[in-house]
Amino acid sequence: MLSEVEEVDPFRRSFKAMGTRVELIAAPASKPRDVARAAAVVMRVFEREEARFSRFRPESELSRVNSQAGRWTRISRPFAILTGLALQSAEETGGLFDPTVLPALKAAGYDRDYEQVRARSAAGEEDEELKAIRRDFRALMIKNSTACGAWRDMEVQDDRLLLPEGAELDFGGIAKGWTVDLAAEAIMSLPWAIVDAGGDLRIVGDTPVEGLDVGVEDPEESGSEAMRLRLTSGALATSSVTVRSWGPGAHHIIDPRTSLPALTGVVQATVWGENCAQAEVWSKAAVLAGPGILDRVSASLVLDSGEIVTNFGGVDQEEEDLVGVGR
Amino acid sequence: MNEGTGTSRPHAGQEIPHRHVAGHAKAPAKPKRASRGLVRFWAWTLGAMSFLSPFALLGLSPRPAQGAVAGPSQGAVSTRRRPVVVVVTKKIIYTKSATSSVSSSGAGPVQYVQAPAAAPVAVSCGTHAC
Repeated sequence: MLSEVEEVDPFRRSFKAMGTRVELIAAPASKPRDVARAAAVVMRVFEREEARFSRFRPESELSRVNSQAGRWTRISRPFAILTGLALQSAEETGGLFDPTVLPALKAAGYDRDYEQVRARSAAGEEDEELKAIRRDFRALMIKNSTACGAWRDMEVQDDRLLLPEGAELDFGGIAKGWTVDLAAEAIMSLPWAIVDAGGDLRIVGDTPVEGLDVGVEDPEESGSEAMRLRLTSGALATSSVTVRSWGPGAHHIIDPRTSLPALTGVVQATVWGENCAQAEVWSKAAVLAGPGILDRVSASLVLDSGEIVTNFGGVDQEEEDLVGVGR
Repeated sequence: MNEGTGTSRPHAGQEIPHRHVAGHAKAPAKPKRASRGLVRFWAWTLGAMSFLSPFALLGLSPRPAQGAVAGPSQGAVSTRRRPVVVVVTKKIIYTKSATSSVSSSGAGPVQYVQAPAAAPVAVSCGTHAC
């Protein structure tokens, strides 16, 4: 749910949306009035897209589409655009990104708002609703050997969508990244700005020549940095198995190959992309694919061995130094 | 063997003199030996008790509270759970830049900073709940 815009300092505004904290960071040279106006724009965009894509709101377009699986459903233009983007991303990642993992995600325990999931997990309960979800999940696994991959049978025709029976859509991270992009592109009259939604961020405008420093959080120690990056444009997204985790091996990144929470040796992946939706998709894929994905994306991966593997170039370092270690 | 030692022991056939103790006309009676059956009974009883006592102690000891048991739940997802050991030593390994260009940055838009001087403008992390 949305909250009021909070003034962190003259150049920062924050509010809650999509289950996380959204922040607008403006250039220090910005006029206060422009910062306030931009924050209002960002908030409106998040409000609109959360109402459309939240799986926790029964009245959202996503909930309506999921409830009509098995028959053609009319969808809005933005819904069709994001669905197309999600299906394209699923193709490009070879199915590692999968917008139809929701039955598996629910069976893993993430069947309701995250705070409620944590509270239930702390109490060590498994209520009747979750038991029923897990029964359905087991039946699906027995029947199909997987609870994922239904995106391959989806059909989209202009303003209509056919979701296979039993399948459920969840845009999750890609919807957040896409909303960050929409909000960032809607900002006018600021020299530069960052829209940051819970760590997935996009830079717009003319940044300083030397770039903007963005920390990458240590997955094991919230609040401390594992490494520092310097960006002049684009977006950064991080996926981690240590946040949105409600028990040992229970977290929100589902591996479509097993239909279970991922256990790949990658604890966290941070990916740079031209836009936030793209970075978000590939950060999930990187957690699942491992260091091999560094052939395709610019990223840093924190492994459970404690190593950070990255192909980000270094500031003030010669190119040969950078490639001298590693693969 | 005893010759020349000065000790006096009765020789074979010599009568052993009686000792006379005031008030006792007979030697004290030997304690009565337990019957073989009784010994067997007690041996079996003690053996059985020592065998059963650990089970009895386990049965009587208090059980841990239900909430303290961190075992897997009955769902199918619990079968693969294992602890994820994460030790970040911050050993950074560089690899070559991405070649095929899904999100290749080249050397431009994003770079790793070795020794940051000031606080970052923002922090990228897995999405925290607010």
